[in-house]
Amino acid sequence: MDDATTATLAFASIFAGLAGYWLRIRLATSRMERRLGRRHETAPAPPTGKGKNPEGPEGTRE
Amino acid sequence: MREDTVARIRWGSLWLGLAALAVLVWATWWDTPWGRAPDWTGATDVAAPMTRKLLFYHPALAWASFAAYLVTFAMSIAYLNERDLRHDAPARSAAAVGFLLNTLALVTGTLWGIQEWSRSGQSALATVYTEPKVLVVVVMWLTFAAYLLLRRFVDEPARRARLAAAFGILGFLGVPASWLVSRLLAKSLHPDVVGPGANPDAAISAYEGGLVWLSALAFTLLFVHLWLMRLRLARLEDRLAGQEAS
Repeated sequence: MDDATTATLAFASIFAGLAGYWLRIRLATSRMERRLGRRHETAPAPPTGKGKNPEGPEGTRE
Repeated sequence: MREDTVARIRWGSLWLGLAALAVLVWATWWDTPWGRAPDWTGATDVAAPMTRKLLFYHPALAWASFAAYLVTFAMSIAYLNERDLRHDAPARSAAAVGFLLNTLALVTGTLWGIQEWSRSGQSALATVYTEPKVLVVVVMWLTFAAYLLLRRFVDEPARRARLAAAFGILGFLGVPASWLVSRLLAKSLHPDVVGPGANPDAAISAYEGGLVWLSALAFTLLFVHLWLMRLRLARLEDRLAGQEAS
């Protein structure tokens, strides 16, 4: 392998390696945030007290 | 530390690191107001003048990987001391980024060594991989490969963190060993350009020395950015695992 090819390979590996890893982490973080967001949205709502029960407190349903 | 402060450091280190890297690339290949682009064409003792420009990248990559392994080492000791899983995410994030930087340092070092260290009667690759400093770094790289692999195969978080901490501490021993080996062994081919015990025949000009320090700054800043990014992902992973477990 000649000098120019070796230098090109070495510099390409540095920049591709760093950029590729950065992109991989960025995508994985976005995916994780989406998953956590979805879980948060689909989680059952915590009890909010009798007055906010959509079905109304016991004994008041028509 | 507050989350918005960490985010500021994360983005600040990226932009400063990229700016330093841009200046470094410029100064490596073109003349700047501060000096002429390093050029070894025609030098009798340089076999590959273009590959030699790795002087401004390969040592800095190795240095940044050592800094990453130092973080893993410190956090692993903190974990074993306190048995607090809070220390596990910074340790594993630094190990992952350190492994990437170590791999890049090994790839660039191998390519450079093949060009510069060819000996008659021995394959260039064999010359590189029988060099004591390279051997120490390869062992360290393998230890951190094992560190990252075992994390995938052990399910119980406390056991995983304990085993990983042991590997993290063991792997870090390669850092002082690689520093010492080329300085203590007279037969070592690997030159030491800066610091105590640097080889006199590897002397560089003040401008080139400045570029070596600039590269160390650029890659250290990029390490800080990648580490904080990976740490953020690690904490999200832990949060999701905690939600799935409950």
